[in-house]
Amino acid sequence: MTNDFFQGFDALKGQSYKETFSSDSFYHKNAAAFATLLKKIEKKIFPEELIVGWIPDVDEKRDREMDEEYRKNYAIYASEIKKGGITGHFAPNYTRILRDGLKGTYTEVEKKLRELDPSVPENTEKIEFLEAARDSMLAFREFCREYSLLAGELSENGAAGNRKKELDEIARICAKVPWEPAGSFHEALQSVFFIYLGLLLDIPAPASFGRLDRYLEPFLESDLSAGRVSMERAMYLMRNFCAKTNEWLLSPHSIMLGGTTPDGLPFCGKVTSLILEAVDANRLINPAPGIAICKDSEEYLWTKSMEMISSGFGHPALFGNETIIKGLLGIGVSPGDACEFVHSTCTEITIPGKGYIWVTSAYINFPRVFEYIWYRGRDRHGKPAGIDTGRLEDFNTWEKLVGAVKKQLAYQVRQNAITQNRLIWRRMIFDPKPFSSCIVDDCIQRETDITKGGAVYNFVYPQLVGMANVVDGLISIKNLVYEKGEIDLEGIMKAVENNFEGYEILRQKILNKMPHYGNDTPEPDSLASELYDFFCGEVTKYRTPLSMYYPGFLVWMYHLRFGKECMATPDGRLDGTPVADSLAAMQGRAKKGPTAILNSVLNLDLSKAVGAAVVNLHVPSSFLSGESERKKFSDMIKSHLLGGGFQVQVTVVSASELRKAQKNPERYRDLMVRVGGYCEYFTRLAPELQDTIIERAE
Amino acid sequence: MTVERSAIIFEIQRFSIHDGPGIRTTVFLKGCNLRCKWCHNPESSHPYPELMFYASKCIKCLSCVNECRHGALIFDGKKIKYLPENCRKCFRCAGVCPVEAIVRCGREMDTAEVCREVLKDRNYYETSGGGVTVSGGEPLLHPEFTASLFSLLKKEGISTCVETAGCVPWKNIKKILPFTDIFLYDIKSGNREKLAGSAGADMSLVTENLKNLLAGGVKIFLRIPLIPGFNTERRELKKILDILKGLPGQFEMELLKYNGLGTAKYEALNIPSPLRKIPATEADKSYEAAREFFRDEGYNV
Repeated sequence: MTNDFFQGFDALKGQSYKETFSSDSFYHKNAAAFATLLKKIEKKIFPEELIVGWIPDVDEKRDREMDEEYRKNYAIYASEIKKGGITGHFAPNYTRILRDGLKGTYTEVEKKLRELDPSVPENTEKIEFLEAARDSMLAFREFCREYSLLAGELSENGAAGNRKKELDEIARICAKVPWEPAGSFHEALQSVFFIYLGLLLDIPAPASFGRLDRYLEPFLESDLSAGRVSMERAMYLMRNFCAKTNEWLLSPHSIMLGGTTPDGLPFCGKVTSLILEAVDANRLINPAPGIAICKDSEEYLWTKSMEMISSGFGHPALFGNETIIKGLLGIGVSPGDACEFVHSTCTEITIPGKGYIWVTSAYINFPRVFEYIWYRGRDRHGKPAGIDTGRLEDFNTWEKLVGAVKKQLAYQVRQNAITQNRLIWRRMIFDPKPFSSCIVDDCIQRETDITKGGAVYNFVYPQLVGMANVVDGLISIKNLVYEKGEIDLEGIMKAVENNFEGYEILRQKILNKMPHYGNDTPEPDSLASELYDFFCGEVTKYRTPLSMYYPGFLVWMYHLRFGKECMATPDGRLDGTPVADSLAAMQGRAKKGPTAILNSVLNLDLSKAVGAAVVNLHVPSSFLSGESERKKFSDMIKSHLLGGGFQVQVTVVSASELRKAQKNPERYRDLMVRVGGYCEYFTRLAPELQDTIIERAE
Repeated sequence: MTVERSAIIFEIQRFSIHDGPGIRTTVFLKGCNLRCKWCHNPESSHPYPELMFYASKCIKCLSCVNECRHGALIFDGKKIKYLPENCRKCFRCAGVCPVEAIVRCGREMDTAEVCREVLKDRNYYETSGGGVTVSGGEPLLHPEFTASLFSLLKKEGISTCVETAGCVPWKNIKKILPFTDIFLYDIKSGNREKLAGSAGADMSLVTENLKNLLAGGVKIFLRIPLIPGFNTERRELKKILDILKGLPGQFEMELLKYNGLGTAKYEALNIPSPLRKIPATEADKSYEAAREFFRDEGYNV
């Protein structure tokens, strides 16, 4: 989803804000803005679909009617309130809504409003909040009812045969859920889809369907045993549901599958396979399934995921159930809740139905520390950006340099906490989310908005980007400056400042002769572990208005963005080029194969990084070409995840990627290919053979 | 007799998935008594460390030329030339080459050092039923080293596997037998003259050793490399079949498709490739034909 996509929403909300301006609290303003949005956006049911609900691209309208008014309205909502930080990314308590209906929450709110004494000043804010929650639920009920009416109309006006029956059924279901409890598999899917839409319209950011397989399983089971639905029909509904999540593009809408239940047993139900098969059959970017892998995970989860991955499909992502649960228990999540964890969208961990989360708050560009040290606390443009850690000539030992790197990092972490706390505080004051509060525990019981700490768990995740570059740079400096004395520190930094122009031999030496993180070698791996622990320690020193800060190492696409901002680094990386794309080795530097990469990562206590610890593995398709290869590959991943791994994201290398490798061998030194069972580094092959491998990959 | 505890290793390849069951680490020893024309590891032939020069990677920084004290590397104004006749194999050039255009192939390692390296992946062996494979070269030219490495690994509970062409005295095989779980055993040809001419191997020795192993109940994977123009014609396949039919006991079988992986290595070693260039499509075709042939004969390949 692009930000532009949501400008239309914000303009509509802004219009509502203007109408209610100054007379109301921000609770009511937000409830009213939500209601306005629900009312004004176009409703549409597409031919053949069985799961309904649509978010129009309001921006299309903006392009046609781009006027002053629109811009002003957009500005009213967006200017102050939406600056910085990203929330959303959580999963509502779908289980509760399927069981009790939204009605259940509504009844609870009404009861509280009856019981709270409005003359008591402590109750005033609570009452304002609960009223806003009530109003937003009523507005949402109306939104869903409109879909029922629309289906009815379509049925009346010319629909025939089977489609007429389907539309009548849609009309019946939309009149019922999510307000009433769901009574069938189809009703449950529709209810979940509506709630998800409500969440997106309330907080325009990607989010999660939570443990979709677990909470839908009873509905499918009872429908199947009562003969109300066949597996074919269930598959058809699931494919429809999954396809619908692609109507808002880009960011992932996630589902977590598998894992363990509170009694410690592995879970893999009929719905689990239904979802995986539907996602595989649809071949679309959304939804994004993750699989929580545990010791006794069903063989099916392995074979299916390897089959999907080997076909060049990026899904599913594989998560280490034990590592993540251990991490969550470590920060005080209860055992019963910890086993329900989900990846919020990409990787940041949260508890569905109970967690409020601020992801990417913010990304920290670690490789820039060298710039701040060199320019004594400023960036290369002279702007204050770090702290002054002293003159280079005073770093007479390598340990002192490492100390300066840590000081710079600690400073970045602290500055980030200052900024994030302001942003979070501003949202608490100006941007409550009464609707989201209705669908996440325990906001209503606590009579507290989700933005103000109503949720059971609050997660705020700063993410460190580019650790591998810092490790490799420091290790190269250690070797060349402090051990061999081939060059002094200033010499290296001069080369870096000049983007290695005139220093190509030095750069090549750093790239090819120095030990690098990601090769299962003690020296860089233990430095990585030291810096990793240091970052985790610094982050957890600070608190947000809602919770602690928790560390993460998600990169997403920031290896490109941060790479652009970052001058050359002592690891031989050139100005403006990408930094490391995950917690694993820098691209092109892992030369001992995937097991070495995974072992290097396992040197880190990944359970500390509940904010995300992603390992990207780029492998040639030949690694996964046959059943036997896939089994071995999955055994490797299994061994890693059960041995302390967090998440592995496997990318099978495409022909176009191979072509790039042929053109820029330096960046693809670690790319391995297999020809008829033999393994060789791609860049070392004769050009003609490279060509044939490329051809085969096509 | 002193026990040979070190060998010249030219590569330790982790996550090897085609060198026996499960995920394995393959240890490649230098030195081979055969000279197969299709060899894709020509750097493994000689038992001593060698210099490989990948000209396409050279950035002409002249670090090697300046480092060499024996006039084995010269710059002719256009490119760097390697003159092996002057080379004393000190490998100082490989040490300074910043782009790994010059690499040293082969390093002496003792069993303890190799053991440390291969044990790094033991978790993966355990999950996948894998282990360690020793390949070459011909690892059975170093029976003491191989046996000593395998005995260390057996103490650690690691599965051991050796890849051999079988053209060695039986006493060499006998030495490693007590510590070896699996033999990957090459059958390159059933044609006595061709095998002697194109590989330098003695067919009787190869088949005799194989029969002895099978009679002893050792777990064997027979591997047949399919080299277009050498052993892929029907009458050549039939000769291989004759050998198979005369074997006692149980074995598994695998066909290996020809690959041109050696081409760049021959260049880097400054020796002409002894085999004509074989297009991938031709290799695919003869592989498929051979597969059909053996399947028709009831072999699971």
